[in-house]
Amino acid sequence: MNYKEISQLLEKYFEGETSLQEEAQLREYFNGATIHESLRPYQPLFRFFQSEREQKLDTIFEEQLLRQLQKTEQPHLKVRRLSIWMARVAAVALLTIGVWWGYQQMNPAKTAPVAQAIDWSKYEPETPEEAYQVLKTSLKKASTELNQGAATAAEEMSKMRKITEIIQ
Amino acid sequence: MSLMYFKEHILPGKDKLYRFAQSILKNTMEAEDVVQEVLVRVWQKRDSWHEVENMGALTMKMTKNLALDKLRSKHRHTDDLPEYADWRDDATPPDEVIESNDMIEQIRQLMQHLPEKHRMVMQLRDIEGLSYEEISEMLEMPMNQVKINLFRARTHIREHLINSKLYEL
Repeated sequence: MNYKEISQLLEKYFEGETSLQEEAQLREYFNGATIHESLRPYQPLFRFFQSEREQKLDTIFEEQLLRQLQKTEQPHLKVRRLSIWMARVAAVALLTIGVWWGYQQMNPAKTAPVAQAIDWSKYEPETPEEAYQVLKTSLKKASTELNQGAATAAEEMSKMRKITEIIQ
Repeated sequence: MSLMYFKEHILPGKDKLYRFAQSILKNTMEAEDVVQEVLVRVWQKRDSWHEVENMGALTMKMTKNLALDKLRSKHRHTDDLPEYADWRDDATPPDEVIESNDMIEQIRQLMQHLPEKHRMVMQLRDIEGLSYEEISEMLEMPMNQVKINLFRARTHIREHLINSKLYEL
């Protein structure tokens, strides 16, 4: 482009009448090697525009950003996973409490026999015969209580089975 | 899928956002923070990308708003910032700039002294090469205002170029 054309374009530029293409031509001219003496005052302006266009973010920025995006992603997924898991636990807990409550309603509570604390001083043996007697009695008592316990457990199990049938 | 779209269509605009944020904040670190925040916010809203007509304009608008918020809160929290403060954190002190006869640096400082609207319009038109329509949308400014602000900015710079002895250096 010759001097005249550029001067006209420059006037148009300062009037705010240039197109993007014409502005690109001006940038190109003023960033070139030969600039007319009378147009030199405008050179720094267009060189400044050009140098500004070349300003870029560090390459590391992209890496850091993508890492941060992944970080913002994680808690989102974590919460969702946890809530499903918690919902399952809550459902099981609720069902158990419900079954227990239902069972309590159908069978008024029987008070379970409470084991009495043993007064060991009474059983303190003095002779070998007495010690044998004490041992024999204790074993017999333990055996009877074990049998009672098993019977109670069996009874409870059959009640649970009935409840399950009702629920199903 | 979203990540691929992000990398191909949104991320390439990061330098433009950075330059714009920097022209408002005059600080490279803060400008970088703003761009990062904008891009993270856009990513978090990826479910509504399909509703966005012009992603470039949206990210630019977000950058402008965040940078201006940041600038205003900075002014509130610091004693009046000197009006003619260096606009880059890594800039050479003004005296040395003059001594070094760095013409481009002087233009940079000249542009820094422009009113905010003039500077934003000039940045988007003369540096980023955007159309008046795009600038109008990004700055949420009527098109005639865009043209007026640009005209004033260019006239102001021209007066300084002619009056100063920049070209004689």
